[in-house]
Amino acid sequence: MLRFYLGLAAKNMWRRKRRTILTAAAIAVGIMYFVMFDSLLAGADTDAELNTIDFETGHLWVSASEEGNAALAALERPTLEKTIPSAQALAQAIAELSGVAGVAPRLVFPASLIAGLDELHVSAIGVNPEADSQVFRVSRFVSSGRWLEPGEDGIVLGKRIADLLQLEPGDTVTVRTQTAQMAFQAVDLLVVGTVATPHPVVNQSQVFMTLDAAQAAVGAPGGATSIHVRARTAAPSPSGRDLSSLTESIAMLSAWDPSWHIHTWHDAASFLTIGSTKRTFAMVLLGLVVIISVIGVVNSILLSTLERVREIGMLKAMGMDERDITIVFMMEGGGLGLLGCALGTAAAIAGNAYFVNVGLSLRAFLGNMDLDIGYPIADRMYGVWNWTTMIWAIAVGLAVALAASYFPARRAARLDPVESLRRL
Amino acid sequence: MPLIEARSLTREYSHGRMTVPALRGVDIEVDIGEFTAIAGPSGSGKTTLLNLIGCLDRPTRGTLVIDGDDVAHYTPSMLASLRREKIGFVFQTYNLVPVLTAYENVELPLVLLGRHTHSEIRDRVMSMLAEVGLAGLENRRPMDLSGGQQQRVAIARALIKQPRLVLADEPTANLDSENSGAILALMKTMNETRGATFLFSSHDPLVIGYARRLVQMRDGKIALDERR
Repeated sequence: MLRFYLGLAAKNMWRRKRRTILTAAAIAVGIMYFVMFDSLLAGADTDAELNTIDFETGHLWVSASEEGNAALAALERPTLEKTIPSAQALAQAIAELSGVAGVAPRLVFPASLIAGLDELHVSAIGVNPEADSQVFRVSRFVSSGRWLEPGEDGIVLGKRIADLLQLEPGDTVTVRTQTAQMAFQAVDLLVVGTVATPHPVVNQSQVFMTLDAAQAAVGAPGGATSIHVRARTAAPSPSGRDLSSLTESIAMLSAWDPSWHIHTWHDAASFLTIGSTKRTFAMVLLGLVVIISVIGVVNSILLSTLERVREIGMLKAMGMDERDITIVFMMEGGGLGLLGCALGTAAAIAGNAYFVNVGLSLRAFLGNMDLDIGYPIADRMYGVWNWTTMIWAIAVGLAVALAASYFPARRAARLDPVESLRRL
Repeated sequence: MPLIEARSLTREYSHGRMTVPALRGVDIEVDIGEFTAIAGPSGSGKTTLLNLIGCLDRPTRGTLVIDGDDVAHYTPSMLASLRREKIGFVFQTYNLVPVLTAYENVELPLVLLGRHTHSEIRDRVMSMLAEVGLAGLENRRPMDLSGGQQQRVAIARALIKQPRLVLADEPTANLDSENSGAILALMKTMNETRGATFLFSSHDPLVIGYARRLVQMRDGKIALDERR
């Protein structure tokens, strides 16, 4: 009997093809937008996590500051108040621990770049060129010239800085800074390269010099503000639990000073705290899917019942009871939901494939202005495949279509057969 | 025991504060195998009586016994079950499901009964369609059939489950005289060969002429009840 009802519902669904297609299309568009929006948000999270690890913090870092968000704070408002003396010795000790893929000490300090009459405030970062490449990926994004070589008095500029100061490899730039002893110092460095990374902060505000040059510039020989560690792990963004054993091992080193602090990349990923806002956005979109589905399905089924009053009377005369009539109309509503979900899923897969492979250019919306959307990602957002979200969207679309068809279906089922048969 | 036994059957409709009597204390018995016409002018209560006997409506007062069961106090679900099991309907406007083929329309009552296999249903439907002269047209939808053919489908649908009672409300009102004659002849044949009890309403003398029993109604009462 259910098979017959299914066939009847399917045929009824196509009585008004245009209405059916419009309703299904409305549901489909809702589902497609929800899935694609969620994909872009998840993709932005993934990119932002990787950018934080690859360009800001590594998997974890040691600093003399107890500030949990020390990496970001140091990058944006560098300070020399607290440094780790003999940083190379600690870095060497950490590098010898098992599970460590790379260790990179960094000396981060505020500086002014002076080129002719132009002056720009930047974060200067002293790095060990070879060790830094084992933890960070900055050296892989050289856009002109080359990356630093050990022992040289060169400087690599973020692309945006180079553009603003109209500098290119071969030019000389003056770096003015304040030493740990509060004395001003200026050094001339040769621009050896520029970097254009997927992390906008690096491009806009960071310059790189050798650790030796940086230590000399700020008068902190042998010191570093932080020592960054990349763990040997399969997960590109390991959890705090994944890193806990390594954290414990570092804290047990003989070179360890209890006043120092170990932070994981999560401490610097402040963007993760806006997760609830994103979830709210996603819920608003899901709410729109629900509203569209409810309006579409209720309208469609209600019109169907009004058009088929005599038929309902006849079916009741044949012996169909209220339950049977309700089932047939709910199957029709469910069919609409299913069609909408199928179309929406197909469209979402096609659209998401584009987002995953090509991405969405933010410049298309924001033009060529400086991009800072509060997320450590470049000017292109990429989607990810999130099948759980897709299944949820389909389930919600289907459940809502079924639930929305219940009330008009019940209304139809309760029609008086005599009145129904009398209706023209 | 009569198939239908109605005593003091009364049906009143409320229109605001007014109560309009449609049926005023009708007494009637119909035996198995009868071929009965209910005649009378519009508003005389023919359709109301058929609706009550068909368990589509409930009497305001009186008793109605169908096949031995007093149905006056049946629940809607019990009435639906009774209609499904024992009563076939033929309507003036055919009332076929437009999206279903002739075969599927005739199959519907058997599907609702839910006690036949797919092959049993197929055999019975094909045989019934042939019996009403629609062999070869089983895959046509109602819109592709003439009025007479559609009413044949409706008769086949009413008879397919071999009901105790077939109720037909002005079954030929939408047909020309040639098709009307053919449909009445078909109904009479079905009555004679299958033993189905037919109770149909009409004010067409041609239709009334086919009946073996005539119940004449006027103002909600039976004015004349004669067997021929």
